[in-house]
Amino acid sequence: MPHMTESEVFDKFAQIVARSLRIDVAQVKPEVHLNDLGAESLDLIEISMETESQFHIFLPDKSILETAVEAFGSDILEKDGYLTDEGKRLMLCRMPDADAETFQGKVAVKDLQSYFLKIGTWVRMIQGLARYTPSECRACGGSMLASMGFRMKCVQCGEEITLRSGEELNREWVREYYDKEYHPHAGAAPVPVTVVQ
Amino acid sequence: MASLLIEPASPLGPLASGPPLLSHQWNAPITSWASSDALVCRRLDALPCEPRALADLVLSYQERDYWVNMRAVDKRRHEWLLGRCAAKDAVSLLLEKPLGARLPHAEIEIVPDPYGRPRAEGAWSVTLGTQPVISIAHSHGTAVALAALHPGQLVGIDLESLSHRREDYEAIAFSPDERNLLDAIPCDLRQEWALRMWCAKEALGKALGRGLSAGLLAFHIAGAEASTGLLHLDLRSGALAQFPRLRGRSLTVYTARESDFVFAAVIYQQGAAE
Repeated sequence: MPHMTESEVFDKFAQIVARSLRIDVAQVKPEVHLNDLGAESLDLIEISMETESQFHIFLPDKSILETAVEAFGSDILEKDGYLTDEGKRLMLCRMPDADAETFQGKVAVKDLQSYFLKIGTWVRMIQGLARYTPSECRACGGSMLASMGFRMKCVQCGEEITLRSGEELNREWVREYYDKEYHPHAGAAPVPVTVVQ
Repeated sequence: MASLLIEPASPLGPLASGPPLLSHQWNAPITSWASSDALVCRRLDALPCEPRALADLVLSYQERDYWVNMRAVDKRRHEWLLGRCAAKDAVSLLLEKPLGARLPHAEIEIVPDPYGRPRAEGAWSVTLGTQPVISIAHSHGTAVALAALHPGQLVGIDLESLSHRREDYEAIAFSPDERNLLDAIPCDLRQEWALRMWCAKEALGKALGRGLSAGLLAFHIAGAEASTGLLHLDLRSGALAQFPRLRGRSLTVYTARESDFVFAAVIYQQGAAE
């Protein structure tokens, strides 16, 4: 899809949130958390589905930390509910534009869950995923339109592609981080990276 | 089915002294559990008084500070307060017998653990040498709390309203074989059972203490008993990574409908199934 600025993504996402929660759009601000706007668990699912539909993206079903913990094994990134130093390194690498203080001091898993419920965090995630949604057909340069499910179709030549899922992209990022950042830094890695199926 | 498990103290009885209870006893979620003699479930459907007065009455200093500074819409602020009231009532009733008196609400502090699961704390926990486990749920202005006296018991409860719900969340919330289970249910009951299945996932996630962080499909509904409301779940992928000892275990969640609400409750004895 055409490149959207953070502000454009925010405006569109704020409309989705306001409509779903039946609140005034002015209440939706980057620093506000979805649960503080009254969102219940099923509201979050509805918001996710509407976001996927309107931005033509495929959201991951769990956080990057969960995907990384599954891949790295227990106790390396998170121990007893708190991020380890390795866990903080990973999160800072993944979210360089995040507020640095989010990962300062003792960081509990619940604090991260809260961070992932912030409107601003959602906006950056949507913007990041939208980069993988093509606006032009690779074969003929024609415009791509949303098709059934998580598919896009060229209006000119009919070429169809399946959107890459956020989960798949997260796993790729974790694998790359492990190879390029974690492994050289940690030396002999204690646990080989595998993703639990 | 067992009858009422722990009666609210009689106004004339010896244990009746102490602060009034704000919520009402709600046994529906716990009557199906055989060993439920140390369980209490409470429910509150509306604010019993003006919210700020209620906060002054029931919250500890730290809780009140948190609530006053909560940047949230009224619905969220009120439900948070209702949930605290129900949970504190439940803990207060559980501790009434071992302590010999009912604790003031403000002396029972509900704080989240590092994973976000609520737990009850207070000076009494040193005296008693125990810390009850709790689970709180709220939806559409109603709050419920389930509490167990023994820390080895893990409890989870969830509540959802049947009003204003669409069916298309099923595509995200359920796997193809879970949707096949739903397809076998008569059309007029489908929405209710979809919500029962959703509540069951949430309740189990709460009982285990990590919520649904491992992903919605990591809590898999393997079977449903229409006559009893029992759902049988097993853990998959990310949830198994969190709880490897539960591999191959079937976990039972009780679900039911009560007027416009559907609820699910699970009481899991740690170690019993491992």
